[in-house]
Amino acid sequence: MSQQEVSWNQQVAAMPADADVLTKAPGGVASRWVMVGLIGVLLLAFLLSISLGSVAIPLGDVVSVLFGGEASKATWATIVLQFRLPKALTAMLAGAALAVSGLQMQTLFRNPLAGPFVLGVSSGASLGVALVVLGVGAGSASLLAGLNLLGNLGVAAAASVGAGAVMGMVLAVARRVHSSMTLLILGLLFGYATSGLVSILLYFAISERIQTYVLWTFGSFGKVTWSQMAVFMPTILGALALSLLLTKPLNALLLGETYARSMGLHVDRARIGIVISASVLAGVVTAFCGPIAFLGVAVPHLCRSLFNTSDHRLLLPGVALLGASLALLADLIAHMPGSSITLPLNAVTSLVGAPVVAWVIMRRRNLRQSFAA
Amino acid sequence: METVLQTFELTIGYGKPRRGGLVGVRRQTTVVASGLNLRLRAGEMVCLLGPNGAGKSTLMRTLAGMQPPLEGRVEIAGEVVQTMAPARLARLLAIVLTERIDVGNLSAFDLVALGRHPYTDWMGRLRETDRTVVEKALKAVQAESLRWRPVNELSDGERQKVMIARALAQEPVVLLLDEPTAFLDLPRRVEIMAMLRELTRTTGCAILLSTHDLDLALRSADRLWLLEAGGIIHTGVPEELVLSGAFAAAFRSSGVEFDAAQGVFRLQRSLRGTAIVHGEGLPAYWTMRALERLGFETRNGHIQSRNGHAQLRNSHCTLEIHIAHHNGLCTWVVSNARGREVYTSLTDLIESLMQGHRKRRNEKD
Repeated sequence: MSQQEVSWNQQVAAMPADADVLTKAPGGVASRWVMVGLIGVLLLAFLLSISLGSVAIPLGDVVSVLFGGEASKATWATIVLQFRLPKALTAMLAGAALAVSGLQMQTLFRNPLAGPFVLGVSSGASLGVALVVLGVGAGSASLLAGLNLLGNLGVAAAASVGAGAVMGMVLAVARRVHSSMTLLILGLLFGYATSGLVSILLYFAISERIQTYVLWTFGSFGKVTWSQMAVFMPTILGALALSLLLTKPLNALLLGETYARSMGLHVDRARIGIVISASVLAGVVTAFCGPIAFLGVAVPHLCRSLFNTSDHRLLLPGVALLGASLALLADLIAHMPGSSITLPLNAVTSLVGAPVVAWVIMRRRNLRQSFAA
Repeated sequence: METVLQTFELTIGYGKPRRGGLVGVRRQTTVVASGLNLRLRAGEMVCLLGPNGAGKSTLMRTLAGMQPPLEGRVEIAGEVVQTMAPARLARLLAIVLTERIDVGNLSAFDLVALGRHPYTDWMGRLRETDRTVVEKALKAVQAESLRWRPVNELSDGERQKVMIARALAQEPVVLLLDEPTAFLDLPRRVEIMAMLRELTRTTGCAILLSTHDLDLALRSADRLWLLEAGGIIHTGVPEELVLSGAFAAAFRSSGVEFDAAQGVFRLQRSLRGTAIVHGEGLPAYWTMRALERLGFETRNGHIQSRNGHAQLRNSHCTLEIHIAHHNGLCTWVVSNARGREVYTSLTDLIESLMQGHRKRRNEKD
């Protein structure tokens, strides 16, 4: 044993038990700094996304308003509290939720291409929205007006019902099917079937409604009001807490289901837990923000590169932080600070995100290594 | 020695309908072996041998509780495997599978630490005792230096060691390994088998491993379980099973015969005749090996015959070879019906014999 290792072991022995996740390997110290860095980036992105926009508000005023003080201009307080704060919170929660959901799906299905929507949750939500926006009482002006009155809440409710219905079906199947691969294929098939129904609805719908539907599919963090936040935030936080309980099963599943079972894991139970947690996260985000592409698939890969590990005890908080930061930044770019133009959120996540992830993956010597879920 | 794993009138096979499966559809059951009463004792290494398709994997899976038995039961440390809680079973039994697993980006230490799963809290945090067990497991398989290496950069042999360490980290009473040496080269196989044998002595756990490496199993196992096609199982010390002929019977197949004198399998070839080799030591041994490869029955002119036959000097002998040593160099003097030739290398000798054989076969055609 080298001297370095000896002193290392002494260090380890001196560590309190609760610090062990971050300190056990030589790379562990680096992991800790990466985590601190991610928290810093998240804070910065949060402040920037509130400060920048069509109207730029100085950071000092932003902080003062956030802590209950006054801003230099009265309108700034309204902008911050009524528009930008809920939007920033929504982006953070949605980004974290999608990234965690994607990580869970990639590990459960041992598939690098899996994401939050592989089980058809977003397709179910789309169908719900399509039914309400396109289908209900075609031509009935009063209903359309009613829909506008209800506003986004009606859309969110429809999407929730759709996502929930698909999730229920997937769960019913998951209880019977003992192979994750079969479940994955069935999830994809659910997705295709619901997309087919949506196509039919689109085909027969009038153009204004199609536009409403298409706008929803672009995704947006700005539609969640404070009253909706009362539903959105607790649900996401609850599902994130559940996902934290599932880190140990996810680590065991890294070895495959046979080994996981041999180490005492109730694989069927764990699978149901993971499917529930991942589907609730993906379903609720889709209901309130639309189908946000890309983040769920890409963030887990970025995080594995950042932390250089597959250990979910590091990855899970890591993807939540990175997902939240990236969602904030994507939203920031979509709002084109300094101009009044707003780009579709999904266009930004994909256009900016795809090259970044491609670069990260190509930079690694061993492709298979960075893809191993 | 204390019995740690025992089967009672165990019938293994496939086809028992699952609970909650399709109602009314009873699939036909296939019995692989029945009435098995096997014992595994603490601190012994048992090799499970048998031809392909005899049901080695089915037996292993049933013992590990991964597949329900058709009848009978398996007990580990006096508890029935099939009704035990998974978390309890994981503290008694650990497995190592043949399949090469892709764990992504974990260090060897992290992988071995996963073996602490049955002992850690809900977050999977390692306490000081867990850490000690992991270090001990790494040390037991001589993989301490691999500790912080990423598993996906390890060679197959190193990876298999780490997987065995992971199983040891479960502190099992019984360790089941399904063809642990399948993808390894010969030196690595010998190393792993010797290491496993050492583990039974140092940790006191019982090891059952299935393998196709008959020679290695004969040399390293404390006992053999010999599963014949048709579900008959013979158990005993390796040498006993060879003497009783059970070994030869289990692997009987066309074209291959078991040489009980050597403990190895040989290809059956048409006999080209007898070669008597006069010489000593390694040159004589390897000359005879080469001649046997060409299909000669060999005998040593100095000692007794190699294949257990009585010495029949010069009766239907086709070759006689004298090996002479001169200043550390060997010369082979070959005499047969046609005359006598001298070779200075074994390659020349064997290649000339092969050419002669080919020529004669062509003349016959």
